[in-house]
Amino acid sequence: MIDPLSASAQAVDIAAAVRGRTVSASEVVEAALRRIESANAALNAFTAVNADPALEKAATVDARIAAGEDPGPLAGVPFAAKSQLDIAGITTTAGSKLLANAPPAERDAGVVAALDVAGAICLGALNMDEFGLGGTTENSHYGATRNPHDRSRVPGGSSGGTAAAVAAGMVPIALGTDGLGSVRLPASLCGVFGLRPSEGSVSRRGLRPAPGSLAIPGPMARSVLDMANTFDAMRIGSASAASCVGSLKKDVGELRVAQAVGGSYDEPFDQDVAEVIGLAAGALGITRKVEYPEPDRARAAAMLIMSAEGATTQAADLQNRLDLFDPRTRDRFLAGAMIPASWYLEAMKFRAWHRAAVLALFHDVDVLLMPATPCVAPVMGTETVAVGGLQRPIGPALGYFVQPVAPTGCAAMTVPIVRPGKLPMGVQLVAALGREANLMITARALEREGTAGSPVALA
Amino acid sequence: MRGDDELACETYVSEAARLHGLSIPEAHRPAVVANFRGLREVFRVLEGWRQAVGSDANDAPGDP
Repeated sequence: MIDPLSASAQAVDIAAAVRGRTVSASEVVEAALRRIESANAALNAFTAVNADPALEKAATVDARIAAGEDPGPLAGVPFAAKSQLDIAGITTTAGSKLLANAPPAERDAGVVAALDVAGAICLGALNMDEFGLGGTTENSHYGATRNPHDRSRVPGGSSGGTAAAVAAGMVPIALGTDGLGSVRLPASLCGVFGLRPSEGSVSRRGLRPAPGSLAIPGPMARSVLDMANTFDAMRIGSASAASCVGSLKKDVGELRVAQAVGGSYDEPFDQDVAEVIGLAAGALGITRKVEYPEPDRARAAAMLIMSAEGATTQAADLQNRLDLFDPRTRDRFLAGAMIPASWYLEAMKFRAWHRAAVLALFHDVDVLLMPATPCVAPVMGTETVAVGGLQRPIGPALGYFVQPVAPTGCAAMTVPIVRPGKLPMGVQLVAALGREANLMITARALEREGTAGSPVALA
Repeated sequence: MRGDDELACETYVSEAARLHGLSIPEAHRPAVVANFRGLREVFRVLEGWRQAVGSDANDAPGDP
């Protein structure tokens, strides 16, 4: 039995203990706040801690349990959210100095509120690359977040604070956002599960600044059961939708799982990538390979769309408050502001074709296996990474394998592969729109067999 | 020595910045031009997709 007050406790352990009255939600929150206080100076995962409101919410959960009420499936589970998602009472900075003096959010973002309704307790806001534009969480304004598995290395980004907080056991579950891969990328480098939900499956209300057409909130966790419980609680229409937790009884043998190939998904890979793909494919008994349509053009389209939409959102501040931008993002936003409309429209037309082509794959495949990141976490300060035969800027390079999936709107999940003594790396599973359950069933099979797992980092 | 391509990008960036009301400090200009050239390389990967995917592109959902 895992101690529900320990860093290793999973959300399901905590909720069961709180609902069973073997521990109070207040004790759980106090223990998590102590862990944050102890670890955050070294990791810089949290940018704001919501201690008093969290303790008040915990007292409410305890009172409800004492009164015989059910506070929800995530009763007393501590969580945190990327600083791009509104948390009532905290300023949503989106990692930018431009928003540092904005008034605190008046209400929670949709996904934060959904977890609150399920009984979970929000402890604060997590670090990120400014406005989600970056892949390392080396933020000039709020400091760099460090990878809990090796503090000399980056956690990935842009949801690097989310990945670090979960990997270090500060909280068992946390929320990030994924535009081009900002949940799946850091999840791979920090060795946790990370889900990009299907387009339209979760609320985007309270995501700041106003998201373009790609970004969506997504959870991270250290087990498939925690991931399934969290996603079930946060998705739209959760009361009526089929439960992901319930689907975990299904055998992976009932699913058609294939490895994606073609373009950038063709081997040879980096040695670590080849190892994790080999381990996952072997454990799942995958023999079939499926051609993923035009991944390199899909990546190009995604980058153009993200760059143009992101710059449009920042137009007024690019004109009037340029000096307040993070130097790492400023010049990229300026360049994005100058993208001709014809490039953006061509990218959107390709996106429509590509989405239809990818969805057609799922007529006779249920889950695709592909790499998540091209390498393990680079050391901090690294400027470029070699991938696809070219030396590329680190942000786009780390997102090399996750970017082509983003414009499809499909469900995609990073699954951390167990490699004792080595730095973390995950694989990516992709399923059709609304088929998150297929990802969970496949990931659960890997987890049961010991191929996937997410032990708390002790660095 | 800078090539025609780089000069064309510099000219485009200067003109686009003026039209968008963006005041780019001189010290930042080379980095902005380099980022824009990077985006143009990205667009070059994308263009030609209609020929590459064949007639399917004619039926692309979203086409006006």
